[in-house]
Amino acid sequence: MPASALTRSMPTGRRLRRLAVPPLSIAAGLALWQAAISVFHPNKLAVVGPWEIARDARRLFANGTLGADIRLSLVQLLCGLAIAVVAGTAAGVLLGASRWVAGAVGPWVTVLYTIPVIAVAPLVIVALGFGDAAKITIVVAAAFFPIAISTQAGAAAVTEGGLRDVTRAFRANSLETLWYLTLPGTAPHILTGVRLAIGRALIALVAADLFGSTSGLGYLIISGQQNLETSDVYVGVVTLSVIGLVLTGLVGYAERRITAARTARAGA
Amino acid sequence: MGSATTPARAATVHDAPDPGRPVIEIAAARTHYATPAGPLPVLDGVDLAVRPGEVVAVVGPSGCGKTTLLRVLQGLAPLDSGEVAVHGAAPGGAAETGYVFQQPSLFPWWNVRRNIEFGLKLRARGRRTSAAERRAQADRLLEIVGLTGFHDFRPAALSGGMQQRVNLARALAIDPAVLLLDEPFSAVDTLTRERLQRVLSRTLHALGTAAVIVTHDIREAVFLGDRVAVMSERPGRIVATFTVDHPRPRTEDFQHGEQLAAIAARVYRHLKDGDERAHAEQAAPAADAPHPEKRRAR
Repeated sequence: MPASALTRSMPTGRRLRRLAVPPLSIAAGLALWQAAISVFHPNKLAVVGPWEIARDARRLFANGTLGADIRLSLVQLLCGLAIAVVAGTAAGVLLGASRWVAGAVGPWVTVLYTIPVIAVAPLVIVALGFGDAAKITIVVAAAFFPIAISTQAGAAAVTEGGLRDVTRAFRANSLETLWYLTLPGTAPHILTGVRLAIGRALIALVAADLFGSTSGLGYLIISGQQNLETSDVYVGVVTLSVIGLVLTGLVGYAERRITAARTARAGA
Repeated sequence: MGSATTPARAATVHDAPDPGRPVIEIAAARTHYATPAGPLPVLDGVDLAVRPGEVVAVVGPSGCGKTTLLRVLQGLAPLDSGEVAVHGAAPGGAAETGYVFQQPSLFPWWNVRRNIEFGLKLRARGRRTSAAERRAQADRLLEIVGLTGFHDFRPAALSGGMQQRVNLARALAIDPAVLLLDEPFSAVDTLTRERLQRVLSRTLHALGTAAVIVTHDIREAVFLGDRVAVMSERPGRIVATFTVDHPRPRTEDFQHGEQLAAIAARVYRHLKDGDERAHAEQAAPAADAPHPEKRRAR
């Protein structure tokens, strides 16, 4: 039926248009950037254009260094994030479920959250050396707090809400309450925390590389600065941005899916 | 408690070990709230016995301790003195009680079937169930509450009345010895409320489950209860019991009939006067009784 085909294609078209806007915006930005470079010819030590960055990225990729840097940084980042998710969720649930724990530990969380990771990163490296352990620890330190704080808010809302009465009425023990109520109820908040943690974790990773490293995306940026290879700096920065964009996008997608499934009024 | 026997009902009580023994016995129950100003008595010598399959509705002024009474029956609120037994044992033990809240309070991340299966999934209870058993039980209850085909829906996709039916099915899925309902239908509109009252009456009749329903809606109490217990102001005591001599399951005719209106009027007068003259009074149809609320057109 043409009428129904029309109504069905309308939202699809609108969705396509909405999906096309971000890439088009980025493409337009890159074009403007390249145009500005060719018109103003800025100092090559400070600003390089996208074309040159792409060419440098291809070179670094071809000699294998960029791939190795990405792999190392991703492993360190994902290990640190994984630990931070587990620890941050556990801490957040405890903080949210118990007023006593919140009162005793809450101030510590606030104090530690405000410490800039970059200030303590050298101390961690002194303690743990230049290897993965120090990098992962620094990532965990950066990612833990947003996850714990967001989870705390969610867990507190769940355990003080009406559903807690339901688990109590069904005589669920604390483990069952955690598994059937607190964790699923807090899941959107945990994901929000993870989404906020990704950016902090990336900054922390670069900061950790600053204080001593022989590989990784942070090292690429630092050595680019020191060797006046400005395009290397840009390649590192852009790669980090893409990693952040992809990870944040994936977590945000999961977040939206969960929320939509719980609140959708129509359909099953 | 001198109420007469309720009308003959099909003896469908399946999990009562001793059919003659009350499923609920409360005697001289006293309890209090802890407040900054000191203990505030809530229940002051409550006596109540509920027979297997019997439905008792409790009405009383706000804050008289109706909800506390249900919490005592669940084992969630301790007594200062007196006795309470569910199936002859302390509440909160082996005997199961189903609880229906005022708000449906369904888990938004589960579909209807998984919500109903919740009580069966908790492994702490004696009888373990297989996934197939849980599913069959959920589907059976969905049919009883009239929601067959909605098993895959998430709560957010259901109307308030449908959510409350799921809530009822969830509480009944564990085959409770007694169902406790706390103002179950006060959050829905009038027509939905009346429909849900009929669903509840039919469901309790079909399953033979005993129930204690706390409500401030006198007509609801009379429609659902074999007996209507009237509580006094806090500290609450049961000051009168009215027997509703009408067979269950009850229908729309009874819901809007003279008999219900007459009994409701007597309960209302008793509540209003607040005296104890009608203790254990038999409610008989009284044609001249004025209706407590605005009479509904039929």
